[in-house]
Amino acid sequence: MKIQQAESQARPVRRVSHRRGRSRYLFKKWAPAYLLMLPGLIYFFINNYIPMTGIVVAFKKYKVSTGIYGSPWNGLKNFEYLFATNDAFTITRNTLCYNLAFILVNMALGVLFAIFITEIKNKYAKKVYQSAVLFPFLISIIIVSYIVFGFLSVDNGMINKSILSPLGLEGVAWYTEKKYWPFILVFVNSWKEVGYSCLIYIAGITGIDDAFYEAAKIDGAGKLRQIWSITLPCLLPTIITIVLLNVGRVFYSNFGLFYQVPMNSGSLFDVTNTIDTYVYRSLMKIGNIGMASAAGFYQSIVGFFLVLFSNTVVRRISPDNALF
Amino acid sequence: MKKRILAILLATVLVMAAFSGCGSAPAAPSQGGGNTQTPESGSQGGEAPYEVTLMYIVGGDYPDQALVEQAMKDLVLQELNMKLNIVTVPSTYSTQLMLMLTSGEKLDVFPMPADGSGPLSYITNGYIQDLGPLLDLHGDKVEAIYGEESKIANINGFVYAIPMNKERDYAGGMIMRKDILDECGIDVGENCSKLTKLEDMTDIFAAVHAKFPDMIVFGGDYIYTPASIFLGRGIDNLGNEFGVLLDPANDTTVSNWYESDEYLRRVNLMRQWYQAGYVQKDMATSNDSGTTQMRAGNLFCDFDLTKPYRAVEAEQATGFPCVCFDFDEPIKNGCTILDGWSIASNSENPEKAMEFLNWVYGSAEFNNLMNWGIEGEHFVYVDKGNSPIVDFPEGKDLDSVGYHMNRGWEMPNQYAAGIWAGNPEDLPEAMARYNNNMKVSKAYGFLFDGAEFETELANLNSVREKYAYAIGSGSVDPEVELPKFNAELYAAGLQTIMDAKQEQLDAWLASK
Repeated sequence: MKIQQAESQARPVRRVSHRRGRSRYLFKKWAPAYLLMLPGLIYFFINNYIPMTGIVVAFKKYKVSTGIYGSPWNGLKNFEYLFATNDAFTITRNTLCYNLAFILVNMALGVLFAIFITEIKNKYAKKVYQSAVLFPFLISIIIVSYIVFGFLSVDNGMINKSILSPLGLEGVAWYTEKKYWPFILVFVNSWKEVGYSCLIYIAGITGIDDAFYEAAKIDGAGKLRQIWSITLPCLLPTIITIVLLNVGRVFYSNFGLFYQVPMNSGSLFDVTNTIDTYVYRSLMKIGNIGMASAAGFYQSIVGFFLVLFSNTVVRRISPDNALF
Repeated sequence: MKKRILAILLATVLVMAAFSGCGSAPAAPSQGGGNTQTPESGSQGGEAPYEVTLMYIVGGDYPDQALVEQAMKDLVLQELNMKLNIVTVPSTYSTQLMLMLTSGEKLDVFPMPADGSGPLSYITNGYIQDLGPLLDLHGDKVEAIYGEESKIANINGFVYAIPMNKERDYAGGMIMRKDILDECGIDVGENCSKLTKLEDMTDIFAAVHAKFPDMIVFGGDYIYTPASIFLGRGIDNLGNEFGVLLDPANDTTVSNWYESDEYLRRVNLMRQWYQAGYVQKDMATSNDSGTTQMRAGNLFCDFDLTKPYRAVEAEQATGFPCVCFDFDEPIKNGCTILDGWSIASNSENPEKAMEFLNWVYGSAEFNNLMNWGIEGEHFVYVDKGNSPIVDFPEGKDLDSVGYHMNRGWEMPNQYAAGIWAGNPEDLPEAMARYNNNMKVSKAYGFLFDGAEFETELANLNSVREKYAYAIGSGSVDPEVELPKFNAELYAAGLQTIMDAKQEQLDAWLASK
């Protein structure tokens, strides 16, 4: 770019024709690529952009007979219920804190597991471990909730019956005791999700040039030194991308995790209620599309600004790794 | 150069493929635009049969579903000159119904789900037709059954459904296994006549627990305990459980159920049972119905909403002899007629839809087809002409028959159809007696119109979810939790709802 500018400043007369010729050349060169991109763009436009106009429903008193665009405006009334009670604080706190915890824990564990697995020399063992870590990710959250129930059931759960009671300890009523759940939820989430991020990090590590490691070995660096000075810095762009993507969804919660895993137990709401479950519980009986959309709108707007914000932060610290 | 031509070719092919894929669903993006169809007014000009779309819930996958549907279509074409479309859905159908209603898909007649949002949301969102004027046009069959009560399922005069022909209120009841009672040497008398109040259960539970320490004495689905349930209870909910009439036959003061003495009594009893170890420990989060658990063999007693001959039904469903102790007095009120058949606002011709629905309420053949299948093939009258009792044809049973719904409560008019063998022949009369002898709420025919209070109702719902089942199952201490529960209810706007209810009810009573 700089060279081009200098060139054009030096020879202003030729600039126009040169530019035009060049852009035509560029277009010709990349036309097939644009053409290839077209189906994807059209898909995006139809699937992701046209429905966005439906956002107006969050500001309307929706009636099916008049349709989204014909229904009367309702101002901000649809948003009221989200902030009407003290729950607004609880659900926002839960959603944010859990998601931040998930991001941190999953990142740390994911990178750790990825390094472990790539260091394994035996090919078969590597495959086995990799699949074993990934497997929980493929299990439906409903099944996960029953696996958890198998451990925590008061009458017949494994923890109460096979661990606490032989030790002579009193069983715990897991589904009514709030204090354990922040740990249980983080644990269950990592168990389930870590395999996926691990997979991405493994791909990242495999992409690192072996020459770095060879050079390091010759210089006498040990395994830990190699990990710290080669693997982690090379993996940083991947980590940042994944974290940024997750930060954008920090206002959404994994509905199944927060609704199914605690078995929708009322006594646990203070620590398990998130925006999604709150909206579901409130509106299940009311079926108001406007109010449900208001919640979705609120989540996406906050998520949007969070992505912008965290990207700015990343750009300040290390411009090469920012998404845009 | 060759490479580039190849690339362009490939890209073109891909684009073409993408477009040809689009061709089949060109309207997809505009569907969100809602219902753009204008209802065709007036009659259809005589000959062309109107296409009426019926949605109904099926209990399972029946091998002969298609045969039965064809028979239903033939019958409707022959008797009404209408073309019948049938959409069958599983019992968890609220979401699917909501999709059909919101997307403007063609739908005429459907059962209003009592589990989801209730009729109010269907009215405020404009999903359904007001049946009042339609009933005046085509309502003779419905009126023959319900008389003056044909339009009872209304909110503020908007008739949202025609009730299914069944019991008019649910009484709470404890269903117990008779064989266990006998083994423990407990005599509850004929129809549990020796039991008078809920507290009488404590001694029975204690005896069963002592004799069968490994058995779960009381359990079931988390909604179904005497304290968690939000239907029945001998009170009038007036549309939702926030603000109720505690003595609906005599008093029209709206009060808070969760502060009433009766609620406190039930809650304390549940706590006492829970601490004594009678109640299933995970009751507050259990999703397995009492029937399922009882059939599995390790449950002695569950709570359910009952009706005449409930014990017979429980026996058929669980395989154990059962007795049923009805401890609540049923009272005729508006909330129990939440279930009914409605007409969607997507209907192209609501008049025709009503004509069809009205005909169904009078047609023995159609109700038979829906519930029992084709006569001779899936069921036979035992003594045709003299008795309404029907049974499996020779050599068929539940497993080998091709269609058998046995969901009378869902049929528009189950008593027009045959009565299944095992039930008493006088079931329709018994049910009519039960309904007619019931006490009547002073607010019978009134339902709260909460369209202006959706914010409060949404918040109240979430508070209720938080406390009602934990307290109602006895798993937390009511002395600590109950005051918190009520404080949060008031913080969420309970008083506003109660005042509005009282005002609407007073206006309704004055206009009567």
